[in-house]
Amino acid sequence: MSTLGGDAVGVLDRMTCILEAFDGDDRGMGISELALRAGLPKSTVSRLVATLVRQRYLERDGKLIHLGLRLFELGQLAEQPRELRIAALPVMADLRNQTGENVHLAIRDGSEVVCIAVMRGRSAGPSTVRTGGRLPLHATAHGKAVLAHDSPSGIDDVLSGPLAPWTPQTITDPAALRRQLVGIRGGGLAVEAGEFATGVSCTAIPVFAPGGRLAGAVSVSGYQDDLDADRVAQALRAAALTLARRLAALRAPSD
Amino acid sequence: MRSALTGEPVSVLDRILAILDTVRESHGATTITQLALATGIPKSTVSRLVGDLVRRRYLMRTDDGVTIGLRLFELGSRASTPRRLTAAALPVLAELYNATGEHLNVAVQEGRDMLSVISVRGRLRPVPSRAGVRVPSATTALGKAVLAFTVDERVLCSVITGLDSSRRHALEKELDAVRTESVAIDRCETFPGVVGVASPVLSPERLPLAAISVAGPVADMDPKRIAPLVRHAALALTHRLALQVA
Repeated sequence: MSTLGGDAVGVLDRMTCILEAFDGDDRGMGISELALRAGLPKSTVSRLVATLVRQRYLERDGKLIHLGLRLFELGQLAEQPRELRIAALPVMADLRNQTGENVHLAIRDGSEVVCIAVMRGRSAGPSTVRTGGRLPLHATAHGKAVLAHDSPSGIDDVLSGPLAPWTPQTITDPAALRRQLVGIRGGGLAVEAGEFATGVSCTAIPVFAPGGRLAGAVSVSGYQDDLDADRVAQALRAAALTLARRLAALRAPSD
Repeated sequence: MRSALTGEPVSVLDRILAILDTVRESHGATTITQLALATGIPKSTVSRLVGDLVRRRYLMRTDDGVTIGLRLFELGSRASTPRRLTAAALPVLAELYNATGEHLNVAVQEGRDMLSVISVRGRLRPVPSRAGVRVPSATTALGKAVLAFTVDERVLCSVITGLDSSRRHALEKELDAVRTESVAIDRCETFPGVVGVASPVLSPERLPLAAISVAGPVADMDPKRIAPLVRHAALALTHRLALQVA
């Protein structure tokens, strides 16, 4: 029993190492590079890859291996991002058109947030995260927006943990962060000034589902020098209200 | 090794993938009991594997079972084919949407189905498809556009199996026409009241990579007017994909 259990964990961890070896830039890899990146013996990797290709979790293009269509199909079925995305995409498009900046939607996942939708602005700076990418709670506007609405013990857990400095501007003092979180919880916007990527600033607002449950956070970001804070704040507040109304309508029996 | 007797998946990896595949077939949400029934794996083993999958965020527990977890969403958004197609197709879809205002899809072949990779909502409600959803190859315009250029006998057989001889004959004749016209039409065969027009996106070797479709209400969408627009969009996408590779 215990050996079988141990084996399952081993196989699942090896599968995870292989799948997570592929980063966001869609560069195919040969078996040798994949083994190196996954930190596994080449023979193990070839065996697992053969099964994963057969089941379309991976795709083979000549010698190169890519993440496959089955993962896309499974990912599209994920309930939580799907509902929020459906409600949010038109609101995000408006927000992008009004501000000309990048608009991101993210949800909480444990000690990080996951970006579930991106709309790039016309005049916008670099987008610092893509769909499916993860962001730290303490160093991003999204993270602070969702963390502020966590329970007191949940906030304590994060603030007492390591607060990694992503840039020289990252706030790593728990007391200073806590003051910001209190302000956000009181209805303020979550602001990040070059704390995650130098020169890029971001403002986020939490989004609530019916019943007051926190659904995620939506943000506007751009080059620190260009961002018109007042206009962005006004547009974000309006967007959060519209989005909450759309989420409520999705849940209603008919619309 | 009990597989010869019971047909259940033997290796741990096969069991894990069988569980994930069953969650997919249940449209993303199911229960431990259903998983055990569908996979033939003993319930106690299913329970333990699901626990492992939940801890690693492949699955997520709900009030009455399990659903897809965020790790699969993250990995899925990095998958190669949808990303390349999306990058190449967005400007083409924007133009096609401006010209038609109808529901658009770009889909790829998955077994005997077409899997939508990008979906743009038009005036058609309720929407019969969205990204990540499968529609049958045998009846949809998307499916027929790709089948006409499919050389894989196994795929053709799996689609044709289950059709009676008159429908099989009709489909073969239709595929012949698609090969010359580069346009396939679904006249309410899949969804009542919905007509679809699709054109294939081919590789330089003329193998089907994907198809692009326009779907609208049968009452006032004229397939003849739409056909050249779809054909043009598919050609544009074919060119953009070829440029991406080069």
